[in-house]
Amino acid sequence: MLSYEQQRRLWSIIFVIPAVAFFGIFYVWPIIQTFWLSLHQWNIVSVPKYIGLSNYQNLFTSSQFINSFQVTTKYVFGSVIPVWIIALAVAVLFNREFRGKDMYIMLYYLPFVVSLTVWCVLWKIIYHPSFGVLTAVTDLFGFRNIRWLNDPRLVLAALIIPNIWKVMPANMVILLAGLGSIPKEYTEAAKIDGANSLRVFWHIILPLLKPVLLYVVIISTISAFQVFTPAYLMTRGGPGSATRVLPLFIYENGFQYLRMGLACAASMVLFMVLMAFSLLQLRFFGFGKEG
Amino acid sequence: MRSRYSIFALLITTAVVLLGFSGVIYAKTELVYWIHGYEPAVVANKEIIQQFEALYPDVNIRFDYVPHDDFETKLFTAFAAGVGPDVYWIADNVFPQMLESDMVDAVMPSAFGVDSQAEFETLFEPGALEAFKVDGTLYTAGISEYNTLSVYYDKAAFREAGLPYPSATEPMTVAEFIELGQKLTKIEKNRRIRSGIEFEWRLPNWISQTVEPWVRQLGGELVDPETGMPQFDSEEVITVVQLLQDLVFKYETSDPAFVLQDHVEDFAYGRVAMVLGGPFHMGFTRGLKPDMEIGVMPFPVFEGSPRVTTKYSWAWMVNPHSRNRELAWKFAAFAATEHQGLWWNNVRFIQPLKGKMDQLIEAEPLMETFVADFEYSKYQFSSTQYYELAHILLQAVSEVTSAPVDVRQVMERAQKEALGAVGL
Repeated sequence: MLSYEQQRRLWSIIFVIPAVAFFGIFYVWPIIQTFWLSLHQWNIVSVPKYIGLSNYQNLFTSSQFINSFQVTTKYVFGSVIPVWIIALAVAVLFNREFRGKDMYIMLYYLPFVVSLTVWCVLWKIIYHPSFGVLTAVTDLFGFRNIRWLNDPRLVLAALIIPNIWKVMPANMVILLAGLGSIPKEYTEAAKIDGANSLRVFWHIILPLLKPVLLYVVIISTISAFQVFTPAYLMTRGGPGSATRVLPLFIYENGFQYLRMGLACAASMVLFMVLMAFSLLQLRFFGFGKEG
Repeated sequence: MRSRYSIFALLITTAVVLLGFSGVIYAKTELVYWIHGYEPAVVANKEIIQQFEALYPDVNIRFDYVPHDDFETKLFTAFAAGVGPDVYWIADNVFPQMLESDMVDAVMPSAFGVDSQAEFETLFEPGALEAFKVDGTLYTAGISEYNTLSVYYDKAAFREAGLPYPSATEPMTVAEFIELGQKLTKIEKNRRIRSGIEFEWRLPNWISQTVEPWVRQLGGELVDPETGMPQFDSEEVITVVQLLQDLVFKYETSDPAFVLQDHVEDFAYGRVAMVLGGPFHMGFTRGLKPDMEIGVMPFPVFEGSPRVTTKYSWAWMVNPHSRNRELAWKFAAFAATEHQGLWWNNVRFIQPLKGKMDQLIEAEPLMETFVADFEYSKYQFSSTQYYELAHILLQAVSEVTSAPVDVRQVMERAQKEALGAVGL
């Protein structure tokens, strides 16, 4: 006969098993398999041939991979930093009562619920050099003939702008929820003690918002690194290879050139980079140091 | 009461067992058939399947179609998982990869009612099947879509510009083509309203098919057919890529940024006056704009060069690992050789069956140009790395047509990448 404590432990294990199994089968196992395949030459159909670290060696000497890595890094920093700043600013703005607040939140949230494919097609039309809305606007200011999606100097920005617009609302809502959970007493006490709004924000709100901010920072960074659809639908990685982001490089190598081993090696590199960034962010936010 | 229940239970059990047996007895043989998505072709295939199933009532064909861009990916992953279709379409440019991966079966002449492969080949126009033949063995049941690229033009745009319609059979020179393109281009207040000439700038195979015939006219090759070595930095390739850059920046007849989604769609809506297109684009254009007045002229030729055009095709293939291989060949033969009229009338796909090309001209006068261009056509280069090489070329073309950069330098870089792709 099991004791109450043993029964409790047994039941908790039983309840946890499905989640662990799901995580193991659908997350951990694919990562292990990707790593295994990254050590092989494989064209999807034939039997994989073990080639050691050759795929990694080929990757780091490939100008295409290095270019993709650089493009992705630029895209990530160009996207996420404005997203964090704007989302936080808008969340602070919405963290007070005013007329029509819910309607404004809904309007801000709207781009997030639009399908990404539709969003990309819409922006492609907006950017059109002859018929696009943006062209009409830039024309008014005397900037004529701007080829947003075909100018290598502008194209990355042209992908970043719609992404900020689309991703920002979701982050804003998360931050708004975080702001809402901060007890009013803290800020009111600080104000009574003579702190101005900026000091209240900096010394009270921001530290208390840290766990939520950390979540937003990590999730938005990971999703920015995984960008695929806008680059595939709006530019196909062009002009030249100006927007050939890493996921596009992986897709092309894996499914079009059938270099699955190389694609897996690139995926592992992306995984390691994301891991490193996430750990760095955890450290930066002092995760685990608190009491 | 109890015995009544027993009898009832016995009856039910007997009925279930009998039904089960009848299911086993009448279980149909299933064939899986995949094509790339194209609405008219889907409709035609459904009709053919219906006819075949009527002829063979014990056969059930599970038909599926996948969007064009994802088709090959799905095919490869299905084969990787061991669930590849029994019969399917592929393009000549992926055939070498498929052959290397043991995904295609050698032709079964008996399915066509002939004794040998040689006899089977006589059913088709000379050279039509050569892209699917390796070391003397043929791997197709027939061509579903035989294409060359000629130039479609919008007659209304020609009238508006006061230009006479070009010849339907005699090609103009590249210089004349450019001049025409300039006259047809419409730019108002620094804003492009209509391009004189546009191409399919986004897709690697299309860029390759556009560049390659011009390179061949100049005596070069994109990829050496003997050695498989890319020739992206050859004078001929540089000349042609320079021409594409000049069309954008010097002559301003074209602008990849102007093409909204598909160059032929832009053509149908009057945003482009001349486009490179295949015979199937007739149906596509008329589908978008039924009242459009379309003309077709031959693929232009460089001054003093021989006439060379491109050729590519999609073909019926049979999975060599099919559990119903013989039946699969029977169906492929039925679809490939007995419905030329249906394919042409409803889909505008040409099947190059011998002696039937002239009938196409009778049915559609615009075909005159394509038939003339077919005479000078050569299949695109063959390589197991086709897509990678075509993609490198596309990137180079995209780079030089997005900014007035040095073409030679870009092509030298592209050549290095191409050599890396083929492992040299």
